[in-house]
Amino acid sequence: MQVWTVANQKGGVGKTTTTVTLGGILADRGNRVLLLDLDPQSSLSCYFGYDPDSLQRSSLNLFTEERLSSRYLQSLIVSTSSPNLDLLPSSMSLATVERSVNSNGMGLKVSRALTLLRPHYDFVLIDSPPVLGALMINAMAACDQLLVPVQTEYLAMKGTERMIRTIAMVEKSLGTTLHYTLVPTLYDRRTQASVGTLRQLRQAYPTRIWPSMIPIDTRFRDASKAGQTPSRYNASSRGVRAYQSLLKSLALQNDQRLMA
Amino acid sequence: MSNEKPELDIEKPGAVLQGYLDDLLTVSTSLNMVAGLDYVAEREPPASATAVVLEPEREVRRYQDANRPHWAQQQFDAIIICSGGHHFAVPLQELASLSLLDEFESQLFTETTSALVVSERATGRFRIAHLGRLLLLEDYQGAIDERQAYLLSLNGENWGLAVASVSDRLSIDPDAVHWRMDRGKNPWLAGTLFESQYPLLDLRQLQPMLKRLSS
Ligand SMILES: Nc1ncnc2c1ncn2[C@@H]1O[C@H](COP(=O)(O)OP(=O)(O)OP(=O)(O)O)[C@@H](O)[C@H]1O
Ligand SMILES: [Mg+2]
Repeated sequence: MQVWTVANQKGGVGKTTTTVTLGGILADRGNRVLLLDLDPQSSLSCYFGYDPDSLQRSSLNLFTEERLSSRYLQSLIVSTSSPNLDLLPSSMSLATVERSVNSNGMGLKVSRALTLLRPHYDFVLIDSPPVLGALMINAMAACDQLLVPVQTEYLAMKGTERMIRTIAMVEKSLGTTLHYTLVPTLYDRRTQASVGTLRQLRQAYPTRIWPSMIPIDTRFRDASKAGQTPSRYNASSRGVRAYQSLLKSLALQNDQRLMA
Repeated sequence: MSNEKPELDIEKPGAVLQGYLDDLLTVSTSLNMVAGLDYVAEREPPASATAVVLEPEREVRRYQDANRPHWAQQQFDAIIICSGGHHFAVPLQELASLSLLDEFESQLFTETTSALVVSERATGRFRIAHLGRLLLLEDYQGAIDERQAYLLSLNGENWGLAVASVSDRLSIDPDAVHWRMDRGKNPWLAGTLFESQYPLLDLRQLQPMLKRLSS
């Protein structure tokens, strides 16, 4: 089982879209995939039609339940519109985690819980909130691969610097290195902001950045309205093809890491 | 992957943040230690070396009883510790970690008869109470050379308890405890285990005693 976390403390950069699209493609290919929603805003859960206000159980239970077991975790998981693609939804009350935390080792709760699901999934993809706090840290500490979507617009450089500083600090606390990849998103080749920012990002982080980018594609929004993963909604759209190519390059990277 | 991280400027605001992250991610205070009793396994290997979260499921029976703390509403785990020549049962759920007490901090207790010492740690002031002295006061039976070797720390607290030894781990049925109806002058005493007669501690109730001692 591999755990991929999608995180950036900046909002609206395409975290949820990246999670749902990559998860969908992996599931289409026959992998058993779990999407874990760690964002109290619950966009990912809403995507599949779950109402974060009415859910009895959610990812909040990962933090509150004293005694987690594999069967208990499975009772938190719901299905989605795609076969092979499951969801551990979030609820608004998840926000209380940020307030209640001050305890040692609390940032490792999700990581610990996921070890119980190892036999059941090939991939777990975690969507995280745009806030540097306990939820995002839990998501980062749990992952084998960190994806950082970066919106190609004017303020991207500052936000990316901040995020990379956070990653360095998390690495220091964890005592390990995180394998992270910057993913340029919402790229619009007609705008100077997109073109210029992408160039700057590539200059600043030549080996960390995925060499291609995810273009603006209105079909992401259409797929979201339909409650379907983008690849099932329209497998040949530009956006989906871009994410497929991202997957290919991640697979390559992972192999290289195994060989190292 | 190559490491081309740009020069990072982790300065003052960064230090606060780093402290927060360290706290969230520090593995030395993980529940693993408590669950596997890694540090007290000399006598016999723990039944299971896995973490709390990895335990097999057990039948959950619900108990509803107002006299019982929230952690005792169903079958719960406890460790048996010894301090001041007495055994006590401590519920695992209340513990953040069980670790070896720092050599120097252990030494502090042999140089004083106080129940409380304050240690300056990298993360700030940390208060450590000698459990035997704290609870037993004049009845304290522990020989002066009883070394407090282990530290119990609590979730979200900047204090911990020093104890001499940790001997056992039990799974306790709430019906096998004589619960105290009225905590009276010993609010920390939740009840007594039927079979062994060990007192069962309600750790959170020790906090007011610590406050009084340190003021
Ligand atoms: N490549 C894209 N092309 C067009 N629209 C996109 C693209 N990626 C994301 N969007 C849209 O942009 C909006 C924000 O994206 P998304 O919700 O994925 O960002 P987020 O980082 O998860 O936001 P938040 O920080 O609020 O959780 C959504 O409406 C989404 O449909
Ligand atoms: Mg989102």
